[in-house]
Amino acid sequence: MDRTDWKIVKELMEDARKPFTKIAKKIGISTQSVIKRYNKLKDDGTIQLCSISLDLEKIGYKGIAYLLMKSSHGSSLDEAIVHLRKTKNIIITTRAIGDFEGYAILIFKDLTDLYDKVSQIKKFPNIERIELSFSTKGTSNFLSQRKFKIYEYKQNPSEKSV
Amino acid sequence: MAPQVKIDEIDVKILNALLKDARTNFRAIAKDCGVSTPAIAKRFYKLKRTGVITGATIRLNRKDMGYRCSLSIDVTAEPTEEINIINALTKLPNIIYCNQQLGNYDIHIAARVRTFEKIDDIRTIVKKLKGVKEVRITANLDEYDFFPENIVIQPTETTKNG
Repeated sequence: MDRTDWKIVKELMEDARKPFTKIAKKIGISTQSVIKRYNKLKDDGTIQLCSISLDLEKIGYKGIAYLLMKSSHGSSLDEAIVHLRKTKNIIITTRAIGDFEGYAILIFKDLTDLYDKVSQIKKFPNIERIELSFSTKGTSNFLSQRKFKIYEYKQNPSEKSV
Repeated sequence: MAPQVKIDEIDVKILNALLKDARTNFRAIAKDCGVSTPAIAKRFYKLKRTGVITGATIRLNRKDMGYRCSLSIDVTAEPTEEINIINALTKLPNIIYCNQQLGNYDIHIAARVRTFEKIDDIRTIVKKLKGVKEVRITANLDEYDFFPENIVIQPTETTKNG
């Protein structure tokens, strides 16, 4: 990735829907090369996702639950994590180190919904215990743009600044 | 709490398409829904105006961002200081998300750091805040990234007209 790529990336972080013509004009290259660079960044996986941010409350999700999972003795949660990734309403999941081996974030509509989902997750392989906590307020900005803006470009040391 | 916004099947299709790729053009969505392109545009702006769509952004490969480690941190705090702690933490660049929670701990934090050594810095910062009693850190091994495909959006009403 070079500086021009970074300029494109920065524009898209602000607004991923910004027309390529506008970006081209702003950074002073042709629209064609913006498109070419964008496609390349997407194809090689540098840009992993280009998505909208939603207000979860406004689509009916009243809360976010944080699940910390512990595996039974001597086993791993790798398989459970694979299942979790495919589970509806699990929006984040990762392996972990510390008191727990797995971490997941679940969005839910009401307490019955939460109960059903957690019961389902409990059946995944090797999960011995789940520590559950949740928030019901201030969740609307969980996926908001602002939270993603912290992604900042730190210049590669090998790259010379202009 | 923000009330749920009324959305119908076509809105759901728009949201799903844009979650998958925020740059999906309206023409493609229109074709899929069997309505006109301006009708899709109109709905898109309505979804923005009502705050369902809060923005659009891209996500980069974490390696390219320079982030190596994500953390989930649980904090117990003096009840009177909770809001102050959250306000202070939200301002920090490394904190992706910070909210009150119900459960064993009072505040849940998601953070991202560049190096493993920085984990300790975060811990120190959090510990030094007034009113913080206990801090528990769980280091996440995988990327702290959400899976938009797992968000289930249900229409609240049936489509009346295109």
